[in-house]
Amino acid sequence: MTVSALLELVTRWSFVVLGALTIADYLRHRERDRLDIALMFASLGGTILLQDVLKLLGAESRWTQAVTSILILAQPYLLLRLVDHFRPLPRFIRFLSLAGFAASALLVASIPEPRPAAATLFIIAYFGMVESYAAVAFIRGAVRTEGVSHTRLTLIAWGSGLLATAIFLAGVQVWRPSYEPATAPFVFLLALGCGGCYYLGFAPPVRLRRAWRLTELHRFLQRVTRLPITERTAEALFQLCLTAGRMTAGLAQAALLPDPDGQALVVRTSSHSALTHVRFGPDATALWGVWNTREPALIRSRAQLDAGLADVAARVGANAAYLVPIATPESPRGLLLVLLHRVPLFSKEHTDLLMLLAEQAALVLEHAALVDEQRTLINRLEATNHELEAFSYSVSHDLRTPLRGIDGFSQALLEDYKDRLDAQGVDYLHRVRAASQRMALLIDDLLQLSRLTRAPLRNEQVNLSAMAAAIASDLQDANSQRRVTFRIADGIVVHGDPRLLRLALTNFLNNAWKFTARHAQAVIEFGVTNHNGTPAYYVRDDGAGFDMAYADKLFGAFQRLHPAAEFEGTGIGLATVQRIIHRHGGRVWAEGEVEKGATFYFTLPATPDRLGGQDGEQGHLARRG
Amino acid sequence: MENKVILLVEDNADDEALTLRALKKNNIKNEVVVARDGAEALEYLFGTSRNGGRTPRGVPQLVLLDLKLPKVDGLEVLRRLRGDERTKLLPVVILTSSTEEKDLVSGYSLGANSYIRKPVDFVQFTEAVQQLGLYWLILNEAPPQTWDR
Repeated sequence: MTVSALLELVTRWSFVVLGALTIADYLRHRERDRLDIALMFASLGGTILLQDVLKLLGAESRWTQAVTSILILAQPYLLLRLVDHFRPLPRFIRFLSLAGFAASALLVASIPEPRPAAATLFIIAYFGMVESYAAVAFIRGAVRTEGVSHTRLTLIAWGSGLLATAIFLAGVQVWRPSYEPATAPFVFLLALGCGGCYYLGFAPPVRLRRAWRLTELHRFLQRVTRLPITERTAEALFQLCLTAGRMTAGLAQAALLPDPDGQALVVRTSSHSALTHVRFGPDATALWGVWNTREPALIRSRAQLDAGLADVAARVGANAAYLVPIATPESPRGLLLVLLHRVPLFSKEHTDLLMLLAEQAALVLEHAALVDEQRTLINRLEATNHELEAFSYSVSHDLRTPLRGIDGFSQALLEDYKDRLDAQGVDYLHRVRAASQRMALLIDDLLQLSRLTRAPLRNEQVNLSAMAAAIASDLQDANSQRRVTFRIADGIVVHGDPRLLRLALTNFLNNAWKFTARHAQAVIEFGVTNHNGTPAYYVRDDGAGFDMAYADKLFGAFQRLHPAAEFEGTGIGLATVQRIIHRHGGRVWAEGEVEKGATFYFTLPATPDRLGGQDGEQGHLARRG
Repeated sequence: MENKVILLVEDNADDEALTLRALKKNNIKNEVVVARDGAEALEYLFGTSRNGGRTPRGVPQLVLLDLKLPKVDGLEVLRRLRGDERTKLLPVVILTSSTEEKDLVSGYSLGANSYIRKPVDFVQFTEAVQQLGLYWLILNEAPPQTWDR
């Protein structure tokens, strides 16, 4: 078999395969555009198949040949139908092509083979001119768009160009038969090339479509994410409109967002002056339909649009439109409106890509809304904190003043009216004084407890061993008559807020000191032990201890397990400690036995970044303060 | 010697009574002038007489200043005190029940000589006043009076 014959075989069967693929494509998706494409390929591929089948069956005859030739002759007209999707065909072109088709068909039917060169040339000319016209139309379409559409239209334009060249060469062959051996391979090669380009342009395989979509998505995301959050919304909507315009060569695009009371959709970004600041009320059913269903819609004629939209469409000269929802799976956020001159060829592609980009834009909108909400909450929190601070301050100040009066005048009574008071009276006045002083202590403790949760948490390295030693030494100095042995482990270093940790440790050690007061000798330890793999720091004493049955009450504010007469204190200490340790993200618990002593354990997170759940917002407040 | 008036700036009647009592108990016999708010205090120190024109009553030896005062706040009084040539050096002891750190800082920043928190316990309060009196009126050398009478 010669190269030529081989090429011819390959070319013919390629077209058959392409025809089959496009028909399968149509059958899977059932869209009008795909039908037109399938018809065009089928007119070539199907016919070739028919020819070969007939040849195989030996059923060829003049008539069958005529029929198959006429079927092939239909291809230019079918191609023009596709061109029509991009720009309306002028009537005379349509008329000419139909006339050319009719004439060619007549020639083929009436004049048997071998035909005079003039007839064949006429047919070839008809073919060639239509293909060239199509090529020019597609090139103009390609120029006006960008991105995926541009690529596809360019491919189609190439296809048409190659086909036109092939036909031209075929014409040359007819005119100068001697050139045939030389030019024939090229004709087939060109035809093959055309088939490939047409296929990739009109009906690209899924993988390719996906790859193109991803390129667009990548470009979109890049443009949007390089901006700070506050500017991303505007840019996302703008890029969405821009991409839509580029891709569809649409007449006008606009991104609509709902207005604050949710009753109307307002244009936020638009590419055309006719669309700026337009509002669509609740009567714009087409828009609200898409908003609610979150499914894109292709409007195929102006008649399907309701009043407001139809007006705008008329002003712009549009006869078709895309309505694409800008929505996340949870909630709708907006709408993309693309006004088109006519229903475009690749509408499924367009809506697929626009949905992809619109969803990203919706995420940006959602993100921006969340950031706003967060800011509002933080502001509210700051305000509340300030109020609380002022409240605590004035409460503590205003409560102490009358207390001073109560205590002071009781003492004044005791001193100045001493001779007129009996023992009972003196006792009462002492109790009055004791009560008011106790209340003062309580106020101080409460204030401290409430202040703890509001101050921002510092994060430093703290040497607990040194701290414990210092506290122990202070205790010893203040009460040198007591015999207490401190056993403090060395080198215990943690991460946390030094002031708060000092408070906690002081509390623990003070308690240990206090509850060993009844024993002649005491031992107080501070160290670290292993508790389920994490280090647990402890303060242990061998003093009064407590009943484990009440262990869970220990850390409640104002909970006491010993009467005030035995061991003084307001009962707030351990509640404070618990707050401190919790703010650091640690745990605190205790073990004890009556008269055998008590051990208080606490853990702290190992790494600084796990410091305290409440710290996040406080950190913000501290930085913004 | 110069006029050894103690100016007590205190709005609360109970606190005033208790302070006066504490001073008396400690045999501090200086004349105590009481101003019930910041405006009165400033009036006393810089005030105009009925005739108009300034007639200074004389700079006290010691000012016991409460912070939470109506009309003009204690810190504002302090600021004005320190801003005027005549009273710039006047010993001022802030005697307040406020435990806020910011008040402490402000007090010292504006030039108070001392900051004492009024304890609730009256016995402690009396001791504090005793020590105050002992220190500021007896032990401490008062700045020279630049007052021209």
